[in-house]
Amino acid sequence: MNSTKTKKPFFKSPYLLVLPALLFYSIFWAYPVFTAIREVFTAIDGGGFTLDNVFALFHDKKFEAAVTNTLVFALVSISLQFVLALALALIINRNFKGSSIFLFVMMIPMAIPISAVGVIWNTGLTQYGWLNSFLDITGLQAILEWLGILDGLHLWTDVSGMNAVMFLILIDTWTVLPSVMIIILAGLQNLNKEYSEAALVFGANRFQTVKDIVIPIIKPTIITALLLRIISGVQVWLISVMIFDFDKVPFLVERIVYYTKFYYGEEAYKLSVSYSLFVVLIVMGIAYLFLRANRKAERGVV
Amino acid sequence: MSYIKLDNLKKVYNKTIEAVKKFDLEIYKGEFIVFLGPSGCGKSTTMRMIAGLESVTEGDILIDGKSIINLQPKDRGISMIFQSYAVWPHMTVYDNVAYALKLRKKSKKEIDKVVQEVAVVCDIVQYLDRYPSQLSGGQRQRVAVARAIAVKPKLFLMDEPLSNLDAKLRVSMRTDLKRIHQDLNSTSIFVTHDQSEALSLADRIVLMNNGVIEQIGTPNEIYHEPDKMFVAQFIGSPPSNFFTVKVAKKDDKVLLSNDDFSFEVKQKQKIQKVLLKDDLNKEIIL
Amino acid sequence: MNKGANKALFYMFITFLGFVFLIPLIYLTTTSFTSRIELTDFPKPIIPKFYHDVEFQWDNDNNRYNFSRLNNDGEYELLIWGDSEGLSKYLEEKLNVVMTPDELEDEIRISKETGDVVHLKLYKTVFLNYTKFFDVFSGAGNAFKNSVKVAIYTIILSLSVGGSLGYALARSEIKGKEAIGIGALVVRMFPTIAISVSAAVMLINFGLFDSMIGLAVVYSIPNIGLTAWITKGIFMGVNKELEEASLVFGATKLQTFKKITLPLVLPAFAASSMYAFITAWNDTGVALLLTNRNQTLALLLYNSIGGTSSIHYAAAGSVLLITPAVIFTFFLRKYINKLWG
Repeated sequence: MNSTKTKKPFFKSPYLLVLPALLFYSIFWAYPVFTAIREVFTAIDGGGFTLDNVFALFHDKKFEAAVTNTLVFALVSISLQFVLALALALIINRNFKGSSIFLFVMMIPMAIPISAVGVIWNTGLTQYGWLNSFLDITGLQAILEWLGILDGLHLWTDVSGMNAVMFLILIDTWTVLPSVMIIILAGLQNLNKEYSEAALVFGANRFQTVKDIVIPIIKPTIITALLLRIISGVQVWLISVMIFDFDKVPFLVERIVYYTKFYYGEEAYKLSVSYSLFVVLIVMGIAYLFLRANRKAERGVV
Repeated sequence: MSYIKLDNLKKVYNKTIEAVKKFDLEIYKGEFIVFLGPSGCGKSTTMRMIAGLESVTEGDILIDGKSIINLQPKDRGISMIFQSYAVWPHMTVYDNVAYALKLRKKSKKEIDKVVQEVAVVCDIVQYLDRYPSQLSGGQRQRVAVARAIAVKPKLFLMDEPLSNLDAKLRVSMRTDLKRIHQDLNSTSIFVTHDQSEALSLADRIVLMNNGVIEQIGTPNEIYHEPDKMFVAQFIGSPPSNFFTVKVAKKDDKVLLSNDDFSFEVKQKQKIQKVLLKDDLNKEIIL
Repeated sequence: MNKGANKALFYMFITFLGFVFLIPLIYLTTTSFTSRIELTDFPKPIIPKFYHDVEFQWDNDNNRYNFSRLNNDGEYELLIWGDSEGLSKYLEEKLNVVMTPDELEDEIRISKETGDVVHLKLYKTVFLNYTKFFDVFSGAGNAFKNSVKVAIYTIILSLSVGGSLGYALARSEIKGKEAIGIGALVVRMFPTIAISVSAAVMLINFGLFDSMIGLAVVYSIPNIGLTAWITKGIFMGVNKELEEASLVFGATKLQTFKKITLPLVLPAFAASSMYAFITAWNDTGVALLLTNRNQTLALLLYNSIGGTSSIHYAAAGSVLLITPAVIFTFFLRKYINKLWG
């Protein structure tokens, strides 16, 4: 700003531009957040401060399972997706004919609404669904039966517990892998290729080049991609419900919806708010950790 | 006996673009060779073929009599300074210089010794703990040099290493590079488009244009005895003057004349004879 | 290494990869063209069949036509019998073949007259499932309109509030700019569904529960932050000197904004609106918690799962649901990279 400050009328000042956002968030974001906090720590009958709801949350029948499933899902899925996406991005990292069409095709699963994903896999994984049809038509069914892996037409949705979670991870990977790959690809293409060339000249093989040079330099990109995915991962629920139905394979957000939609009354309400706050805390915690890591990674990388 | 031989080298992209059409060169041990030429002439491409960063379409490259075109860059015994320096931004200066040595599984002690040595040579001792982003362009360039000499290579490749520096630094770094080359008794190939660099640094210059070699010679030869029109045009600052004249014989004298002037060729008989024989009554360029 | 072989291998791999990711979608699309009777076929074809091989035979004893269809095992399977009127209805419901009773009678009368079997190739009305979708799932038409509404509201809200914020962050010196910037980053990642339970309370208090405006407000919570972030980046990229030149040459601030700045930042606005659109269009969870009778299309589809007898309609609805998002993704390709980089 110039040293001779001319008084600007308010409606011309830049604060005016910030005002709508500030207003919006103070009303529509702060309100629900503080309501949630208040609800969690207030007793059911309108009493004073209490930790009862927190205890109720921790002792909820499926709380442990929900937490375990959610964390396993989030962590395993991003690990799997990261490794695969990185591998694919490295392989694809060159301009080839049809690359833009290919990338578009790869991006389609990302644009699909979750409920449609649910329809797809719901219809696909039944005994006479299209997955088994595909195996049948291509002859893979016969091969797998001969190998003893399959015994007739398999009902894919007949899994439970951790296996169910793994199953969902695979479906999630199908949906999401292309988008992670594209983000990493973008990072790779912004990378000055002379960094890798220098490594090759000075003694590194391809693997060492990727490990010592490429990955550290594109770390900020990777961190951003992973952050957004893990936050999504922690909120998984719909795909589980569409394939396995409520209450079978619990997840944190699944609990939120479950208690909101299938129960009435104060107790259930308190539970769902408690679960909600819990999820918010987890997500914000993860975001904080990742942003700290990002700041560290950006140091020194120009 | 040549140390490095480039035999009929050819590089074609996409089956249509001939970046390097025909490149033949023999380099002797300890020589400082400069590839000189305008942008797009193929000098960098040739160097990258020697480094192994580009594949060879046709021809061969031999070091010490052995073909290297099927070797990985890291197995060729070379070292390279890139135009953008390519100093790894996520590593400290120390780690940058030490990386190649670490890959060769040298002991920590040995690595430290070498790094400290080259740091002194390149005057970067005080930067060893810093990150490249904290250094100026010139300092980063010296890190690139230090990294390159730490591995004591058979062959030094330098791809326009001075182009991104300011004028004053360019001139002073020039001397440093030549000195390092001499101190290490290495063989070097230096790519540039700047003829003053070439003329001051090179033992021999390879002048390229459009994928072919126009002339190979010492700076003196290139400057005073250009073989071709292109060379004569390219070398010399300010550029040479060219006149179109006609050769004529008049009373025992050989004259070169055009509308503006007439010049009697007083030099040796040989030149006169050549002129008379080949170019009598023709137009030549002086 | 044989370069040619390498290249061929690469392209095969790419094609294989693309195919793998597309197969579920291909099946979905095929299912959307499938008729009721084909749902129980096994194995399900990858490419849909557009006609049925059928046979009609007049049954004199019972005074009716017998109707058979060629099934997967290559046999003509007797499915139903009746008169032209009944058969015409059956054909439409189960086989997606639309024919009036008179048209049908014309075709199969011969069997009555000669006693022979009549072979026919009956062609499906290809997009029948799509039109039927809006009938079978009550409220589908309204749900579609609702989805459009909420998407538009979200875009308007995000672009206006977020855009101005982004501009302010890029161009002006405000106290607390850094804090606001981080705030924008944080809300981008906010788990909207987790806040929906409390947001429901808030909306009820504002009278916005079960309304598209209420939904749009909640969708905008992360999207305003996102838009602000995108536009901030773009505005910072637009060279200030371009604007200053315009001012020097006599244009007012408003003119400069309209003629110089705006065209350059249009791509950012396009990208932001597409993201806002996709968020609003695709969401199911938040809509589930914040609406009751006014469903969005995504929510309707979610609710329709369970009936195995109407999968083909659900598939058609899914394709309808997916299409806008895919179209926008097609245009969004370039900006996705900028977003994360």
